[in-house]
Amino acid sequence: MHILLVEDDQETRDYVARGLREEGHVVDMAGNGLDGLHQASEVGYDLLVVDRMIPALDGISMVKSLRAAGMTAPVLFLTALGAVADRVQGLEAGGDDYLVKPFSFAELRARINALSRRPPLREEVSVLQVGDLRLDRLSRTAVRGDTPLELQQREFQLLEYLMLHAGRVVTRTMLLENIWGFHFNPASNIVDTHVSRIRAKIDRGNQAPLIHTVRGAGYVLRAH
Amino acid sequence: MRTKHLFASTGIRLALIYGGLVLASFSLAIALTWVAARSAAESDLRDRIRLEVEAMEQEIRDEGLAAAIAAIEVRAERPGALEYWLVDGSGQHLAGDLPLMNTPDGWHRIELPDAAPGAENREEMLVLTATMGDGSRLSVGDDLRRAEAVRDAVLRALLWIGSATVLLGLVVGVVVTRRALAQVDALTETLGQVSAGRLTARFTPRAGRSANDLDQLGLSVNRMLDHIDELVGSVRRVSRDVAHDLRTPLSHVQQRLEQARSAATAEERLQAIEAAESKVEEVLRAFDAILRLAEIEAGAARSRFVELDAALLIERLADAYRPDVEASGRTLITDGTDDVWLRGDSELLSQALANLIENAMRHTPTGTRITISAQTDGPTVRITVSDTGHGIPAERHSDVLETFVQLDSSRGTAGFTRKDAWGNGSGSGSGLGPGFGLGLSIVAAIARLHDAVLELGDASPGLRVTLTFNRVSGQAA
Repeated sequence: MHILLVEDDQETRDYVARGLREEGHVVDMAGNGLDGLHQASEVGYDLLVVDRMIPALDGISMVKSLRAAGMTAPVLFLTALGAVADRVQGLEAGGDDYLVKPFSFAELRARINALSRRPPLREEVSVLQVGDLRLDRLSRTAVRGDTPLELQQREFQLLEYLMLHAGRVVTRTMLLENIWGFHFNPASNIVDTHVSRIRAKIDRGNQAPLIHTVRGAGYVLRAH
Repeated sequence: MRTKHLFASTGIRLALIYGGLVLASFSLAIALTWVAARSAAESDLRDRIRLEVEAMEQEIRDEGLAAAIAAIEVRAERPGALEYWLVDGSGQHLAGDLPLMNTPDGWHRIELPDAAPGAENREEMLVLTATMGDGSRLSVGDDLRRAEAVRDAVLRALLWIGSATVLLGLVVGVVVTRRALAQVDALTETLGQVSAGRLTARFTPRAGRSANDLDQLGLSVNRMLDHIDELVGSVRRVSRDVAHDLRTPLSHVQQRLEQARSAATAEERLQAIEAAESKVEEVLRAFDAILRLAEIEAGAARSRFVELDAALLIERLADAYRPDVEASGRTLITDGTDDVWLRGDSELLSQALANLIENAMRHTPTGTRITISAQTDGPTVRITVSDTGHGIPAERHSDVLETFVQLDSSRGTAGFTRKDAWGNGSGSGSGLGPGFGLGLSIVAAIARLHDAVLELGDASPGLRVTLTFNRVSGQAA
């Protein structure tokens, strides 16, 4: 992917850029909002990673201008401002996701993957299948092989989310935000407990586990 | 004492200005009176002299010079009489004892040695000289001092009254000022002590009827100082706790990294690094809590308040936490009724409840039942989180609510280490781990933001935390 990284802190910029390049992305960098605006206008990037507080033109205004000019590439905001109002403002300005600093690279990578490969039609698919796990979104049932799974409503949502992002890492924060709407970081490992519950239901007695823990990042659901 | 200080005071300045003005206006009044009295007395005297001269002229014309001389002799003997001097055409003295040389016709002011024996003053005579029909010349005069005596009496009276008024004004001014000055001094002293760092210094106002606006000012200053003291206290506590809470995990990070450096195997090194990472996460969570607290206290979230169903809220929380609570050997049940609507921010309320649930999990023995409920009660909505653990002694509830308190003397062990979490200021405290006490401070801040009343109660056994909100009618969302 061709990614534009707009960030004024050089250390963060180099760290993120190096990580993304190691992932196989092509990364361009801009140190302020005006440069970012010019570069994004001239080059058709696949994704923008934008710090909110940057010199010359703040991230919000920059993205607003780009959106007004018709740019459709997804935007991930980086922000030191964790405030709910700031987050809402960022999303309203045309951001697709946000990440509060400090963040781990694993979290950033997971979110970039979620944004970049978001398949537009996938949301409307009524049956999701990964390996021998099938989930019917209309009848709200799931089966592993021939065995029906008894899932509570929240467990179903959790599995659905993992399957929609099959093959990609889903972080604990992503689950907290998307399944429970919690925008804070609980001290307890509530996500882990939930995941191990559905893992027990799905992978129990199965030779091939589907839900894998990614150390330091989160979970990934994949067939092998 | 404090002479310079005394004159620097507003009261004394006002008193002096007032005294000066009174003095000036009195001086003016006295001057005017003096002039008026003088001219009135003098003009009386002139009239009298003129009439006398005319009368004597008549006498000479009608009765002859000799008769006039006789008349003058007689008149001069009367008490309070005028003084006369009559000379003939050649200047020869005929009658009278006004010791005058020949003066031309008209009015004169003449100074003479006092006729009275032993008197030192010189008389000032007002004299009218006129030429009679037969060529003789008559001078009639009187001592001006007699007129002036009246004038002087008036003047003296005015001076006395004036001086007394000015003096009285000054005395009252000084007394009032010194009284006020004492209060101002006390205030200055108090503020000086505060500036020097003694935040507990307070102004002592006078009580009862003698209390004035300066005492009111002093009381306001005291209230302000109380508030500042409280805030500074909270800030100090927060700083101390934050420093402590961060030092521990940070030193753990350091230890883990050292372990990683000296690790014998790759596996050991990885374990050490992961342990360091999780410690860093603790630190970040504490920072997060601090920032969150600041954000909540800024109050911006109020603009996002919506009407929400508290029953749904507690269901969602319980749903999220139940597996974790059960995994820890406790149970979590909800007790919500329908239609429990309040106005607020669901994210923040979720966080408050999450913190309370986590708190209950940390401080209760296994087997404890944790109950979250949302009930309407008249015009209010009550959300409670209660447990069947050891609770907090009732007499400590207000302490816990008001200020930092550590029920368990050993910091960082099981037990209650609920510090200023419930407090009134922006206080915070933490005890068991980073973000823990801060977590409770966040609950208190969120309650304040929602104008909710936060109370601790006895769930017999166990602790009950109640948040009481204003109820709203609620609409289907």
